[in-house]
Order: sequence, then structure tokens, then C-alpha cells
Amino acid sequence: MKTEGLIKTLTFLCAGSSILIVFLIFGYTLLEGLPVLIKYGPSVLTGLYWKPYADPPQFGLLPTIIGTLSVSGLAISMATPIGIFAAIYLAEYSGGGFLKSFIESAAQLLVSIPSVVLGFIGLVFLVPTLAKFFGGWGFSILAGGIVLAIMTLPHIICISSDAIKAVPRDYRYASLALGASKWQTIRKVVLPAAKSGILASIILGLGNAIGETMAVLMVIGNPEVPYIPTSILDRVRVLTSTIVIEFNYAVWGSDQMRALFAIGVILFIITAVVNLLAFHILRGRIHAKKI
Amino acid sequence: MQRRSEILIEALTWVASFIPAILAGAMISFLLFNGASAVSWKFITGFPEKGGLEGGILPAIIGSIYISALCMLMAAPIGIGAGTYLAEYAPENLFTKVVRFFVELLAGIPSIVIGLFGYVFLVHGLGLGFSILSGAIALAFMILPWTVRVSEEAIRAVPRDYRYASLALGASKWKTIRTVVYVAARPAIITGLMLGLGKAIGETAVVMMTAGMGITGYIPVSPLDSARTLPVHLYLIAGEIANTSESLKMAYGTALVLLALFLMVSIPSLMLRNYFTRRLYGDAG
Amino acid sequence: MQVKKTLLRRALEYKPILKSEKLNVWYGRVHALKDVDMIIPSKRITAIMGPSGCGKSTLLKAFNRLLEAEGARVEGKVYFHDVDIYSDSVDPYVVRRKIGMVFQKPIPLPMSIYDNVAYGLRIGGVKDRRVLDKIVRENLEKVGLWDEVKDRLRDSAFNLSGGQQQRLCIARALAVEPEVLLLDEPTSSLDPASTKRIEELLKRLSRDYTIVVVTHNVHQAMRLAEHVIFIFEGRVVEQGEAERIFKNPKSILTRAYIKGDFS
Repeated sequence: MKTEGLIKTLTFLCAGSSILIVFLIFGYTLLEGLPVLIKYGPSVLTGLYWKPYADPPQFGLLPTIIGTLSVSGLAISMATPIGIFAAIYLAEYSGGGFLKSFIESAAQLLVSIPSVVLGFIGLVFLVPTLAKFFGGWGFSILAGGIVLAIMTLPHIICISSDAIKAVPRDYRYASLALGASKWQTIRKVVLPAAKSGILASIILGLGNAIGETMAVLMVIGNPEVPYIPTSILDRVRVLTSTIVIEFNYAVWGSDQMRALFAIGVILFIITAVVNLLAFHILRGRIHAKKI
Repeated sequence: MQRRSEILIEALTWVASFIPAILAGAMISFLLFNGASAVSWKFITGFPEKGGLEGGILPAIIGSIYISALCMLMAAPIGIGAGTYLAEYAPENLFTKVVRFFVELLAGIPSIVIGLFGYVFLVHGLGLGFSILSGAIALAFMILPWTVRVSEEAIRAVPRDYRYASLALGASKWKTIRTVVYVAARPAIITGLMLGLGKAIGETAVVMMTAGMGITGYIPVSPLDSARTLPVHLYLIAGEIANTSESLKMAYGTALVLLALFLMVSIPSLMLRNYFTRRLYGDAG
Repeated sequence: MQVKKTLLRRALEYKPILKSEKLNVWYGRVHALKDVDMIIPSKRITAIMGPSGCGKSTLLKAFNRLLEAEGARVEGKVYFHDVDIYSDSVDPYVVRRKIGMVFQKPIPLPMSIYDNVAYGLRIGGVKDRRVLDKIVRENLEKVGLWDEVKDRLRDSAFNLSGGQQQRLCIARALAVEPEVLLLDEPTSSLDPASTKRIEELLKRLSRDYTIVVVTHNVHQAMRLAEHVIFIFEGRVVEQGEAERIFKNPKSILTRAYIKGDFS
């Protein structure tokens, strides 16, 4: 009997550790980043210039934030239609069996592929190719968007196909019995019924894209002085890449290092909000295959 | 006329669903084609020279294995424990909902934020410095939500009847879990953990900010040593690629070895997973 | 004299609208329907009855080609107005609009009451609001729902009771103007009061539509049917005029089933 109680407590502690860890992460990051946020105020978010080595240093993140939004936005707009169509195939048309599990495994593989490998391929293949076709550097929002789209695609496929599969089969029969074609049934009954799940997958995908580091880092260019992009062929910085690049040069305890932590805080908040939104939409459904 | 658009739509969805497979295949072949020539016995067992632009990558390989293994050693028991709690003991109350929410929240934290955290908390706060230990702990934080999810799912999938049968024979709950549930869930848990290991192997930012870049010419031995891993090494030399074919080859070689390591861990677990899912659920899964 | 006239009149009025010839259906390896030859007379209520699992629902689904959507294999011919609906030149969507179906469990589509009834029309391309309004109203009136729902047409169809939902499904099926209405145990999930309402509805509808009802309830068949097909283990055991079959069944099986010896 005593072991029962012990086990229950131990496992309870394991489960509760996640709460502790999240608070630790947020707390320490905030602790390090707050001084800069206070010292430089809202200009951190709205400032145009990121000049950590100037005197006095400027930590304006506006171009970087725009960089993040444009790369992620581009990625999502490319990945979403393909992802939804693929999800429809998996849920509606494929007959099960080997082909289906092959496709699903490929998607699962793509999900966890080391992002640095993806970034590397982007660097040695995508960037030169883009440079050849469009001129310019090749490092661009476009390159980042493509790479991110590849990373986000499997997430969207998995979650959307779960949502579509969850729509009760009866609806399809009712619709077919009225003479609707398969595609009409999908378009008018199944997809609207799966709407919230699909939306959640897009939002989660966006969150992933915003937080992604290595893959984008290697292909977007990261100019020394970030500027507000005007075309998708411009080089940009994103929030995540800024941290990595400057990490090796920043001195512990300096304003520059603290500024990097401030970026961390911003990232944490953005992704937390995104997850909250998606969680709220999915509301307690435990997805067997969600990554 | 309706028929034609129907077939078109079906074809489009078919094409879309193959895109992940095509991309994965293309990337693997691309690396294979360009990097195969770089991978030799000397490459795998040698040390980096000239800042990694020549030579081998042995320290990075050792570093990767060392850190990932240590990470899983920490993340797996806690993950399984948490999964057991959520699947077996947790009442459906507010606290459980909060726990689940935080697990999801943790899963969504960008890896770079975890890297920053690891830096301030482990490297400086706990005074561990850039070390394998710091890297492993930070990685464990990152992998934890995955291990929890995988364990809970695996344990839940065990049919209730097994538990009833065991309890009816007089076994206690914990004994039932230990001897029946875990055994039944073992394949799913192991394959899930291996997938998690794959993710740990591929992680860059977290490791770079906690384990550092390793000591040149030195194979890490103690967990307090700094070490570099394959992804970190790849990133560092990718930034330095002069237009010499030698350095490019090194990079391709590193990428290929990393990919190979990742695939060695992930593909068998994916295949095993599919095999077991189909055994349990048939084609509906 | 009188007997002959009745027989003649009956024979003339008994026009088959649906006919099957050597119909065989397989679900994977299970041979669900075996060499079924049967007819469904026009503008009458036909009851397909038999014990559970004997293939009644399968036979019903064979009429509107819904079997293919379930992955079953069909061999043989099914004639609708002398056209084999399984021939390559026939479009299954057209078949389903002419031969509508109502299911055992009421399946309101996840939309408003109005949109449910209008669904089939919109699929067919009807967009004019006034036309839709008119047809929705007509069909809701036909099933006796109009007064109950006219103030809440925009409400979700799920807010209706089981009996109302089933009547909604009937209205929805009627809105596309089928010639035949197939109903698969339409009242088995409903309470006795709703059951009665729907049975009366079906009797009214049979003046204008051919009604085929699958039922496992012999008494319901007795109440409703003018023509009966009795199926057992995938084969047609007996079929014909309801009165004759119930009074004077030719087969021992039929006799036993009617008596209630098995269900």
C-alpha cells in the first residue's frame, strides 16, 4: 500500500515538473531580458536600428520583427494549401494500406529532420539557384519562406488530416445520398465541419515558423544592419537568427546579451499566445499523432 | 463534366500528399550524391584541422552520441513517469488540465529560448559552464514534452481488459502497471523515445548555447567538458566555407553523417510504429 | 367477374419501377446478397423485411449506388425504369437524385434547418433565394414540420428532437424531387409517438412517391406495406402483395418470421 502512494507521488512530481520548468524558463529569461526592456523601453519593439556596437547601443527590432513576419507568413501561405490538400487525400481518398502509411511516415520523418541539415541544403542549393534565377544575393525572404514551408508542411498535414478524419462518416453518406459528388461533399460538409482543427493546424504551423532557428538562419542573409524589406528578394534578419548570430559575440552581462534575452522573451510570449489560441480551438482533444 | 473535375481534384490531392516524401527523398539523395565522397574511415575517425575545413569529425560524432544519450537518460524516466501519472492516476480535474496545458506550452517554446535559458541557468546560474551536462539537461527540457506525450499515448493504448484481468487476480495497481501495462506499452514507448532521440541528435541552437563549441583536438570525456555535436559542427563550418571544394566536401560529409545518424534512429522506429499501430487498429489508424 | 376485374386492375396498376436481376453483393469476402431477383412496384409502399443481418439494408443501398461508396462489390443488374443503373453510361449522382435515401439514425447535416433542406438543391446548382425559400417551405410542409420550425429556420438542425430530425431528413430528401424514397429502418431509433407520425407521413407520401422501407418490425410492415419482400440470409425467400403474404405465406420461413419465432 505504501508503494502505491509513493508511486503516485513520484509520477505526480514528474508530471508537475513541466509546470516548474516552464516557469523557470520564463522567469530566468525575463530576469535577464527585463533590464534592457526597461532601459530602452518600447523603442526595442519600434526602433528601426539594431546597432549593438554603437555608442550608445541601439536595440530597435522593427525590421527584424517585420523580417520574422514576412518569412513566416510566406512559409505558411505556401505550406497551407499543399498541406490541406494532402490531408484531404490522406483522410478521404487514399484506401489505407501501404501507400497511406508510407506517406504518413514520410511526413513524420520530415517533421523531425535536423533543421541544420535543411538549412545547409538551402545554403548550398536553394540560395545559389535563386541567385541564378532572380539575380541578387539569393539569400532572401523567399529562400527562408521556402525552407520554412518545408518544415511546417508536415505539421499542417498531420493535424489537418486528424481533424478531417474526425468528421463523422454519417455526414458523408447523407450528402452522397442527396446526389452530391465526393468533392462537393468534402467542400460543403467535411471541410466546414473540420474547420476548427484545420485552423488550429495553421496557427500552430505559424507558431513553429516564428520559432524556427537554424533552417532560416542559413538562408536569409542576416545583413549587418537590418533594414525593412521591400521585396521578397531582400535579405532580412529574423528574431531567432539575431540571437544565434550575436550570441557568440555578446559578452555575458552586457546590454547586448540582455537584449538577446529580451528577444527571447518576445519569442516566448508570441509562441505562448499562439499555442494558447490553438489549444483553445482544439480544446482538450488528445491527438494521437500530433507532433 | 462533373466527373472530370472530380478526377482532377483527386489527382491534385494525390500529388500534394506525395510532396513530403519527394522532398525527403530529394534531400537525402542530394546529400548522398554530394557527400558520399567525403565520408571515409579517416573522416569518421579523424580530427578537424584548419578550423574544420579539413580532416575528420570524430569529436563531433562522440559529442553527439554522448550528449544525446545523457539527455535521454534524463528525459525518458521523467517522461515515462509523467505519462504514467496522466494516463493512470490523474483525476479529470482542473489541475490535470493545467498540467496538460503546460506540457503543450513547453512543447511550443522555441528551441532557441530554451538555449538562452540553458545558458543563463545551467552555464552561469548553476555554474556548470559550457559542458556536456549543460547541453544534456537543456536538451532534456526540450525533449520532455515529447516523451510525456509518447508515454501517455502508449499507456493509454493498452486495452483496459488487461488491467482488469490483472486486478481481478489480486495484483495492486502499481504491480499491474509494472508487469502488464508497461510490458504491453513497451514497443510504443521505445519507438517513441527513439524518435525523440532523433530530434535530440538534430538539435543545434540549444546545444551550441549550452555545450559550447568543444575544445579543439580533444575528445570529450567528462560530462563537464565542453563538446561540439555534429549539427553544431555543421553550422560552424557552413559559415566558413571558402570556395575550396575541400571545405565544401567536409560540410557535405558532416551533413551526410548527421543525416545518417538521424535516419538510423528514426526510420526503424517509424517503421516499427506503423507496424504496431496497424496491428492494434487495423487500417483505420 | 369481380375477381377477374380486381386481378386485372391490380396487374395494370402494379408497375415495377425498380427491378433487380441476379443481384449479388460482396463486402470483402462476405457474400451479403445472393442472386436477388425482385421488383418494387411504383407509387406503393414496399417493405423489405427480415431478421437482423440478413441483407435488407444492403439491398436498399444497392438501389441508390451507395454501396460503392462503402467499398462493396456489386454484380448483376438493377433496373430503374428499364435502365440498368449499374451500367457504365449511368452517372451515380443522377441515380441518387432520383432515388433518395433516409437513414436509420437521423443524420442532420451540421448546418441550419433551412440549409439542410436546401442542401440538395444547392448541390444541383440552384442559387435563386426565392426558389429555395419556396421549395424549403413546401417540403417542410409535406412532412408536417413547417409550423414547428418556421420561426427558427436558421437554428442548427441539432436543436430538433429525434423525431423532428428524421422528418427533416425526409424533407431534405424530398426537396430534390426523387421518384423513389428509400428508408432504412427510419423509426427504429425513435419513440412510439414519432414512429406513428412518420408512418402516417409515409402513407401520405406513397400517393406521389414510391416508398421502400426496410424494417425488422413485422408489425410495422403489416401496418404500412402494400408489397413485401422477405429476405433471409441474403436471399429473397418470398415477395408479393402484402395482404397475401401476411395471410397466406408460402414458405415456412416466412410463416415463422411473421409469427415472431425469430427476428
